[in-house]
Amino acid sequence: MRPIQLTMQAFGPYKNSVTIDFDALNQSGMYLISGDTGAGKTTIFDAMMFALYGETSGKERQAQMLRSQYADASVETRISFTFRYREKLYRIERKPQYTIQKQLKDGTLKEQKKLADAMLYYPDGSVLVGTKNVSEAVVSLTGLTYEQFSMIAMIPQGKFETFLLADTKTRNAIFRELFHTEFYKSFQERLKEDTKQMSTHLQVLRQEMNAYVNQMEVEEKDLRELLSIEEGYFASDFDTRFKKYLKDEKSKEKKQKEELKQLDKSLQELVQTLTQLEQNQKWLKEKKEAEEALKNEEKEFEKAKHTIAKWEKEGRQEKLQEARITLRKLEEELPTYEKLASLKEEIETKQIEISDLKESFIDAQKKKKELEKQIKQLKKEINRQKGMEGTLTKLEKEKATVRAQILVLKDLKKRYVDYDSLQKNIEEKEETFKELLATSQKEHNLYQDYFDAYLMGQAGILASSLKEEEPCPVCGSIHHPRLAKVTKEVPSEEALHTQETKAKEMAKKAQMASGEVGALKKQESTMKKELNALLEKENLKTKKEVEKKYDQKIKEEETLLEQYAQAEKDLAQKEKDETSYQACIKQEEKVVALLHEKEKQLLIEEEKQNQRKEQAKTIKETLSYASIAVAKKKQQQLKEKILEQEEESHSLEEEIKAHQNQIASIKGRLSQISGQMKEKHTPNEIENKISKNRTLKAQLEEKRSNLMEDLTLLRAHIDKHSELHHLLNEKKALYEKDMKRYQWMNELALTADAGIKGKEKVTFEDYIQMVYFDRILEKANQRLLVLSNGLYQMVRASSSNLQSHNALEIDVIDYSIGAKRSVRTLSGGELFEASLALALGLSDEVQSRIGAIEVDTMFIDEGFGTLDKEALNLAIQVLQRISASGKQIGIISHVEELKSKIPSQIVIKKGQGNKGSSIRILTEYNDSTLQD
Amino acid sequence: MKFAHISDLHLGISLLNHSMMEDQTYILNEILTILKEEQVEALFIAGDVYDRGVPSVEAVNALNDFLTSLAQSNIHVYMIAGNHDSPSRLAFGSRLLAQVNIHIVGSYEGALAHFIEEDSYGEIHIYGLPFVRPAYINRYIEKEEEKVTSYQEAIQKVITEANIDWSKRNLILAHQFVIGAHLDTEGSEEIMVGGVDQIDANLFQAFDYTALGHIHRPQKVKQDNIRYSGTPLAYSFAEKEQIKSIPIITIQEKGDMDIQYVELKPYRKMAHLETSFKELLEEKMRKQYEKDYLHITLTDAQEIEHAIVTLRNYYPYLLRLDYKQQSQTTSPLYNKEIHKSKLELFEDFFTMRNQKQMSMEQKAYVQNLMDTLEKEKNV
Repeated sequence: MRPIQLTMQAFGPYKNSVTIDFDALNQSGMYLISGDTGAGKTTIFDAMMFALYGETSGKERQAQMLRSQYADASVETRISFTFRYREKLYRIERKPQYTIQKQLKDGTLKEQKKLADAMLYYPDGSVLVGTKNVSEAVVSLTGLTYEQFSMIAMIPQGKFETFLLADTKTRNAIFRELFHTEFYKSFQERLKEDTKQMSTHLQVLRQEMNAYVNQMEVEEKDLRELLSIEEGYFASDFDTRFKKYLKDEKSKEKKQKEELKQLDKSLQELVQTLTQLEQNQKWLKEKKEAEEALKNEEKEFEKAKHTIAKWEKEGRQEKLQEARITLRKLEEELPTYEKLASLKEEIETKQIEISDLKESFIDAQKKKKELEKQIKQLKKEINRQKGMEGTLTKLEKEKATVRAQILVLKDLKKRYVDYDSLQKNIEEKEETFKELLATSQKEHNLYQDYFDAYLMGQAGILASSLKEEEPCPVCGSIHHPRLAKVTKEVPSEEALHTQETKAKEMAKKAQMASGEVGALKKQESTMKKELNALLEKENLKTKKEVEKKYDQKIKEEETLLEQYAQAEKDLAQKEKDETSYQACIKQEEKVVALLHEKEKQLLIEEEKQNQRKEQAKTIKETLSYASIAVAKKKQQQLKEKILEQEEESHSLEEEIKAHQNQIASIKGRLSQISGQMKEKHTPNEIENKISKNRTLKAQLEEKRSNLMEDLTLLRAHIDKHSELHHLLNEKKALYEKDMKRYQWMNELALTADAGIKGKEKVTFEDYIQMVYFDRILEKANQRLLVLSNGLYQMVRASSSNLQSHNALEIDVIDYSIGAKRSVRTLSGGELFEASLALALGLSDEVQSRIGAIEVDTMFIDEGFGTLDKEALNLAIQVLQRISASGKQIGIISHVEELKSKIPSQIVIKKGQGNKGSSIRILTEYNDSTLQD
Repeated sequence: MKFAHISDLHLGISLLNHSMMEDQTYILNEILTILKEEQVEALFIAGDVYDRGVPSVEAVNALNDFLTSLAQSNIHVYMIAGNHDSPSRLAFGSRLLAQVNIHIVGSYEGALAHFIEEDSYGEIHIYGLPFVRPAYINRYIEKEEEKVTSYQEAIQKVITEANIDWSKRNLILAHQFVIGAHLDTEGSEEIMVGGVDQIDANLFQAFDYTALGHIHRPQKVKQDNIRYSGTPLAYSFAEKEQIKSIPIITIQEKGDMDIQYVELKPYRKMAHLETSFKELLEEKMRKQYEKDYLHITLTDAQEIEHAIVTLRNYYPYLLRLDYKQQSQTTSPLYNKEIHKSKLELFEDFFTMRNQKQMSMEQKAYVQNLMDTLEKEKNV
């Protein structure tokens, strides 16, 4: 089992997830785990052991304590461990059970339990789930339990001397488990058991033989004596004597048999005589009985004959014939009865029919009357409604007229409105015009002013350039008496033009407005004209009148509409009534027809009924009996009587015949008996003879049975003793054989179970274990020799105490003093060396003996601190040699020296505060910051 | 130039718990005398100067004296750290000491340490490679794919990157395990498992002389000029037969090199005696060996009580005592063959206990019973 990769999460001092890749370390076979105290060195071993077995090294660290106290509640504690076993890769994922404090939304802390779980991934991909399952699977896979593994592959911190200092009993148990020596133990036990069984068996045999002997009853004196001695049957002459005894008994038997034979013969003769006598006695009795029977029979015969004569006198026969004739006649009449009965039925049924028919006739009449009434009413209504259409048409005309008037009035109203608005419009427009005119005027004036100003200005300018005596460009005058002044504000030509334009525009606008007003006024007058015309037409003068008339007309129209609607309704009703009327007429006709029919039917039926009644009367008169029931009864009576009489006669005839037969046979028997009886003895004579013979017979029989008894007993006696003799001999032979067997079995058992007197108590199992132990010590010693520089060798302690089981204690030979001392006297460092040597030896032996177990890994947790410089060197040398042969050795140590001697390292650094520990892997090829 | 080559001083070592400081100081003096006699100009010390990373006070003093004497005699010193030395500690004051021509190469710092001596023939280039593991080389390599994955690769890289001018005379000190070197069983070297640390001698073949340290037996590897000087003293009983010597190399023009050997005689000899207790008490024996380091194997059949105490009275330098008849530890019950059948085991046991053989019937019965039990076990 070789670690390949280990991942620890929230485990021990590792807050989050750390992974160790052992492959990188695998190069050199040996690696060092170093770091501060409490950094997490042993935790690595713990993690591996935990992953495998669900338990931790040292057992002190309970599963709950494995959870890292630095970890967040969200991070789960988990180990993932990949290892190689027999060239295949396996992976285990395991979680311990622990509780975390989970913070709920409202801030309270709730304790949540996380359950333990484990999963084992096999090389073929299959998965096994469950903590127990996985642990068990690991045990069966590696062939080692947790304890065994730690014994062989681990030297735990502070505990390395456990195995070394264990007592024999513990070592006994350990070896039994490791090397499966329980086989030998059970072998021992089995031997013991078998031997015991054998001993019991022998005892049983002896008991059986004794039992046989006890069953024997022997009269012969000598033999009896022999038998009464305990196990006297083992005597040498026993057999011969017994045989003789049997012979004697046999001859006795023979004689008795002869006697019996004779007795039987006599008995036989006697029996014959007796039989004969008894027979005669029987015959006599029979004869007497027969004679009596005959007398009875003849008497009966006479009686019968007498009865027949009587009957003939009564004329029985003729009466019988009469009765027969009457019966026949009656039977012929029967069908007629039936016919009558059925006819009567028919009459009844038909009567019911007729009454039904009558009822329906009456109903129909009623119905007819109703219908007539309805018709009359409808007709009245229809007449009333004539002239409906006329009304409707009239109303329609009126409606139209009123509507037309309303329209006209509406139009008028509208015109008024238009007119008003037009007037308003005109007013506005006039206003606008007025304004515009004013503005235009203003502008014009302004322009005029401008112009004047301009002119003046021009003039002024001109004037200013005028000189006296120079002609004025305007008028040519050379004198200029009054020069125009330059006004300050002389508008420019542009301004003048602008103003001119403006004024002109204004004037235009005013003009336009004026035009508009004019147009509108024209419109107005037209409108007025039209309005007036219409008013005249309607004969109205004012707007108010118009409106009044309008409202009036509206009201009129409403009324008309109502009337019109009503008229329409009435019309519809009228039409409905028409339809009903027609329907009723039709119905009435139907009913009338029905009535006729019914009447006819009724008449016919009544006629038929009368006919039937007549018929019934006629038939009745022809019948002899009142009813068919009476007739049938009479029929029955007759039949019975006839039958009875016929039977009587028949039986009587039979009886007579029987008697006759009987008489004949009895007579026959009587004559037979007389023929058979040869001797003519009286019954008394025979009686005496019989009893005498009987007595004799009884006597003989008694004698015989006694003899039989004796014979039987003797035979039994002989048989029994023969048998017993035979059995006894058999058992003797068996006993002798088994005794021999028992002897050597016992020898084996004692040997195996250390029962040999005078020798040390060493059982076979002990022996085997000692052999193993010696081998282990041998291997261990090879190492110890180097480790201790040739100073120490371990040896199995031989004990002087015969009782104790000291077989597996260890002593140490100290060559420096040349003596042996107990292993417990070694110093700390020496103990470590010895333990190391022993563990290596044990591991070697386990591997070679139980090749199924592959233990190619070893963990040593501290202990090197107990060694001095040289011892340390030696230890490293030894370990290096071992790792060279293929074992992977992991060492936990804080010893400085080792850091420089072992290049492959797992360096663990304790984190500060809440940080948890961290890991660095250093190898020969990559040590980044390894400082030395 | 004339220079001498020593290595593996292991100052401070103890043999079987006996400090060899005395012997070491003695031998250092011897070396000094030889060097002065031979008029050697330089001394190469090829590693494992101290026995431990943190040496004892005496060891430090010894080296102190030694180097001081060398400097006083004007002998240039080139010293590299071995796997037992702590590189940084060994190289303490190296920059200052360089001023008096004592060159110490402690840790590898990214490149091969390079010194130049001059003689009448020109430059002599001296390279110092202390003990390295591939990791030390990789510290100075950034790219992952360029990192070295073996000792061979590592050394190769270092030498290649030194860009040595092979036309000149080049000497190198190194402290590694070169393939072909012969190790003693139970020698005092610390050997790595699996031989992964071994490098090929080819790496050095172009150098005019390779002064190696690490192996304690003086020997050449493939060529005369690739050489382990060996320890100056025997440090284990396995080495007791070895003749320790100092190679003295005279190099003139390139290609013209001559090596002489001067024997080193230790203060105290080592001997392994296999004899009886009685003989050891004899006058003659005592006289011969009382001053030597001894490993005694007693031929006596029985262990002699307090043998070591008694013998130490006569042989104060008795370091180890054992017995030839160590098979006594093997009990008479011990069976060398592990594949004896269960029946055979029982037969042995039976015979041992009853002093006779089992009968045929008994054997048959036992065999049968064992078979039955086997079957039951397997069911």
